[in-house]
Amino acid sequence: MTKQVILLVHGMGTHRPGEMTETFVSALNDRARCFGLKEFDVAKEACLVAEFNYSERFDAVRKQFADNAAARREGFGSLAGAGFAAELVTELTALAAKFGNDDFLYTHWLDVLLYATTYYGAAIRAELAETLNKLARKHGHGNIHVVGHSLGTAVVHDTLASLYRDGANIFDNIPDYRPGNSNMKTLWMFANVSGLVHLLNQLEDPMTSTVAPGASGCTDYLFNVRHTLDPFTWFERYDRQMPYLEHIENSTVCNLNTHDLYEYVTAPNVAKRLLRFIFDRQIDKEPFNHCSAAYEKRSLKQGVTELKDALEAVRDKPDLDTLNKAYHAFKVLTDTVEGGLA
Amino acid sequence: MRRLFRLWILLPLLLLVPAAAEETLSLDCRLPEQQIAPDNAYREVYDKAEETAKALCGTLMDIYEGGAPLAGSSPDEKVRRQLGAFGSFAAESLKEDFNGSGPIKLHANVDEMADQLAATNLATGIFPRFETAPAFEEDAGYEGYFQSGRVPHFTFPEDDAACRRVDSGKNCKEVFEDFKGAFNAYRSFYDAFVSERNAQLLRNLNRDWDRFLEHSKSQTPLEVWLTTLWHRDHFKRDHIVGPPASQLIALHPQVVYEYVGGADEGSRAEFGMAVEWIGINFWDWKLPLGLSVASVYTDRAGASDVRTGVMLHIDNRYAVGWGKGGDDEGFYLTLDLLKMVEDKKRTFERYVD
Repeated sequence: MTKQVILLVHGMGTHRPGEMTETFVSALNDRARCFGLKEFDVAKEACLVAEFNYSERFDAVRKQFADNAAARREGFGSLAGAGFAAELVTELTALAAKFGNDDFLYTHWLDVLLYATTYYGAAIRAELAETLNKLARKHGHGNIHVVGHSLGTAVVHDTLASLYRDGANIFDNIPDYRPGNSNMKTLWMFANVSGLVHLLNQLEDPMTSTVAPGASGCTDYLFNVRHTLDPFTWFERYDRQMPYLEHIENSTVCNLNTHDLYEYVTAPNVAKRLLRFIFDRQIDKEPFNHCSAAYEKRSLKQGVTELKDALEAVRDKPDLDTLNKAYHAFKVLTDTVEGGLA
Repeated sequence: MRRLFRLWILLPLLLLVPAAAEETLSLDCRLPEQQIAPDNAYREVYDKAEETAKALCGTLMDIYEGGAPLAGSSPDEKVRRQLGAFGSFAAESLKEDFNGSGPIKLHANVDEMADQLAATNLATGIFPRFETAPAFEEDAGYEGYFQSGRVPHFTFPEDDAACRRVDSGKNCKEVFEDFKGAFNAYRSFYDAFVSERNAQLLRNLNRDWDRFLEHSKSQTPLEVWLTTLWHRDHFKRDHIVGPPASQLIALHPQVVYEYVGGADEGSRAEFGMAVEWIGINFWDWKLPLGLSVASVYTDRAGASDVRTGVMLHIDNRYAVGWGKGGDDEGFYLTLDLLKMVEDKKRTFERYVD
């Protein structure tokens, strides 16, 4: 089997290099063993797992903003009798000074804003495009599998939509490919938020872009995976319908964090597709059913239906009442889990 | 005198020219030996693919380098004829082997491929590539397809008598892998040309981004956002783009060293602070220049505390300015304090490929 290349693109928040690879590989290995593939190990397969890590760039940008704001304050604070001007500087730097905080707000939501509303997004797309092109030159487009998670799905979408262009001319000075001429093998979108980010950056619309399978797209197969209780996937849901595009939905809750990549990959129907399309491993019905039963057995049951109903109510009618009900349903479920652990 | 005059004429042009580096691309139009296994079941398809690849390579380089076209009425037409002939040959080879009587129905796929190759053009045309994969529908075995095809993929079982007739020692998966290796060889130089060209262009764009992030004027979050907004048409282009040509300056605080001649002796030269209200910086000019409207505040005796005027930025790093408040005029200079505390290169090189 020709060497297959998996390129992973992580979601929002801080990710140390190699972290997403570890999660993805361990999830796949765990599930393969559950399917009875005892000898399976991604590390021993004819495969290269590469990672595009943009979180370090965002961490650096946030730190730079915070450091600059602190330096300004320090510099101006040393001036005698600065008076109102010092107050002005304090006001101007107040927000940026917090950008270095490790709070969820700054490490997660600020990443979304930095990507979608500033030029750092374009810089990241240029870098991802070059990374992809390097891998494709070395290993061939037909052996490339791209996996995006959360914000990573938007980064992947926007990059590919800019790289695969209708009317691409190989002699002009634009780096691009003609859709259908140099397609990657598979594209996996976990917790796809490309539609949501599109609202902010107004780049190509995921519902009509070239990020699609087939002759007018950039990949041969596209798998869009969502958990029905993952709130990130509720709004501007990606539900494009095309041949060779499969939507895989999971509603089993094994972890309260339904956005978690490990949970996404270990869903049996997802892992089965990954093993089949990347590693050409066929999972027989019996081990699949056996593993699925074990998976369901370890899932949370009590309170899940109530939470699901409450969350769907928020999705359909987001107001204080539905939010309050969802919060209480979540609390009941959390208490159940904690009670079970105790 | 005339020489001096010419220099003055040329100086603004020199300032405006951004640093640029041209790279050329070269391809060696020879296929590597043993590109396919000696026992490949589609050796004849490979031989034709090799001829087509070489012709394609020569034509690509002729057009790219702007040299004389190959013999024939036009480079496009000649290579198109060759591509058309190759497509027909490959299609017939498969149709002969899988004549429709067995479970493998591929006529629509190969006919579409042959039509696409016969009608293609070099610059923007379709170049079908054959691929195999596990069948999209479970329990259907495998499937084969030309990537540019609009008809559904054809399916094939892992093994079948029709495949054993092509090569008794190979199952269907192996037979179609052989076809893939033999057929796709015609694209070798096309792929090399396109991906190498893209590699060059992307390398240049990323080099521009690195220069921008490393050398441009330091910006606050507000300025980053406003600069993005100002250049929104650039960033919303339908392709990968480089950095913006200019940076907006807004509400940017600076430490300045100001001289006010009208102030009392002993407090004429003082450190103070300036806030740039609005301005623009052309970071990528040969000599980067920027201009902003700024107010300077210094606490001194015998002169007004605030003066408003203009600040001139030079080389993304230094600035000089003039301001007037009441009857007092002040001149100042500044080192961008932000530049002194940050080390962008170190910061961004931490990013691990």
